[in-house]
Amino acid sequence: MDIIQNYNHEIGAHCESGTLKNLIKHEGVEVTEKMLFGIGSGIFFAYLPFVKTVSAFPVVALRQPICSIVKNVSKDCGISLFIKEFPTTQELLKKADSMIEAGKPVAVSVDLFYMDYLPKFMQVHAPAHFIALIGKDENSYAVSDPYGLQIAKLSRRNLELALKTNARLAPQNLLYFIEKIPEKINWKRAIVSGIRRTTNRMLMIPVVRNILPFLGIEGIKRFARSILSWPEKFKGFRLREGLLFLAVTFEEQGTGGGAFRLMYGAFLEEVAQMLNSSEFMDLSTEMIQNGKEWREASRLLVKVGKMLPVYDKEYPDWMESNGKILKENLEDLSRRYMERAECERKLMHSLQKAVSRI
Amino acid sequence: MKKSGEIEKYNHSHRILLYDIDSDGKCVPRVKSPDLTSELADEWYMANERAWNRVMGEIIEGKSSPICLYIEYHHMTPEDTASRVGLSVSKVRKHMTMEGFRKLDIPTLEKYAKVFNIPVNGFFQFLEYEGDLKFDSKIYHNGLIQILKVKV
Repeated sequence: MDIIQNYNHEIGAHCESGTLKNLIKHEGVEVTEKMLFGIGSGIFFAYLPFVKTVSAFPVVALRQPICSIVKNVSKDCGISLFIKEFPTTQELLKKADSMIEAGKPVAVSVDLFYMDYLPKFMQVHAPAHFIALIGKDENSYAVSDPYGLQIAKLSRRNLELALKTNARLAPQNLLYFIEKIPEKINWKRAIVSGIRRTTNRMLMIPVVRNILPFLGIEGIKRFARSILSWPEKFKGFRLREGLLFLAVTFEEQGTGGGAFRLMYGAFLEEVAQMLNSSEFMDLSTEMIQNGKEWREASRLLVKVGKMLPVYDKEYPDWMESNGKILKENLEDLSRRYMERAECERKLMHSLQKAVSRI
Repeated sequence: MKKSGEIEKYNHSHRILLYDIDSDGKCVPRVKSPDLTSELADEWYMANERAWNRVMGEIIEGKSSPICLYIEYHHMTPEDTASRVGLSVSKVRKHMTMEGFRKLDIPTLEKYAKVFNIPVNGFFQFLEYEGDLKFDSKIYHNGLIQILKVKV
């Protein structure tokens, strides 16, 4: 298989920022994933109880809308992108083939379900995964997937199925590549813009906060409150699976750990070093501590989830003897997430002030 | 195709990038084995196996359909499936029963087959095998036709 020369595949914490970093580095610009994640305002929270996908548990989104990191970085760093949702998969592949032949890697949004080079438990219907296509032959493509250590091979058929899924909230036939990159990127300006956008979206002005109380800091609070009602809404294995799935989502499904908060803390650390700012160093320490608390809460989610019986028929008896312990643990979880909301509210206000002084 | 009595096991080879605190207190990315996932992966496979066996029993009793089998096996919901197949949720719920499944036409089955990434015959025939057989599957016409070679 012909693979684009000098393309350096690197594993990433998050698919969108990891793929973008690999593409930017291929253009000769040294940059870290955490920097792109921070500039791209990757950190977020949305509690969407009205959307149900895997296991019918309410959806928690930890990231901004799909492709927003890419678009934000492009705007703030002055990187010119070709980005398009093609009407048909064949048109997308035609464009991808011509770019690969010209030595240009392209990024596409795919459904993880069809990425058969990943472990089976990762092959779930998650239709907003980013990979780079970096080579091809007649029936397959060479794939640079940030979730893998090595370059993988994907059949053309599976790629076709993964590009257009008709899934809700997912892009269809989305492709992008870097057209032009400035010789010198104004990182400072990009950082200021990225942090401002992040704080605005997490805090939101009061009017918006009232209309959309499931987003940002308010979303974390709503999520924390909802935990207490879960035993009434979800019973038996469904509750067990939901809790365990949430823990993995927060910790190990492309977040870098701690629900993206650790990567954002590392971004603030890099900003502090770049600007030689003790204020940002203190804020990064707080954000990293916040990320560690998210990680601890995920561990508690696993502990509580694993307490629950695997078989539904055992649930009523189990609840009778363990219902009180379950309630106490869920109250503990709820309290922890409330604390995270409060901590992040303060942190975002401090970041707003710090960034205005740059 | 399933090997009789065999449940998939996670081999712990997967690695991900996680941020961790190093000895200087800095937050650094590290390539690691995913702890939680490693702990839960086998439970995930067991849950899939239980769902498979339960719905397969319901299929034999005529209560559920193969569409229901794959929706449950892949931890999907009728809502998500409906959007992907381009049908209403109530239609998908109907197709999850044996009665509704019988009324399905081939173009609709092809749409479902794409979502579950199986050939169309995967709705009608469930192959189980014993021993170390090797398979070579070739599919044509978007999964409508499958040629399966079995090597002993």
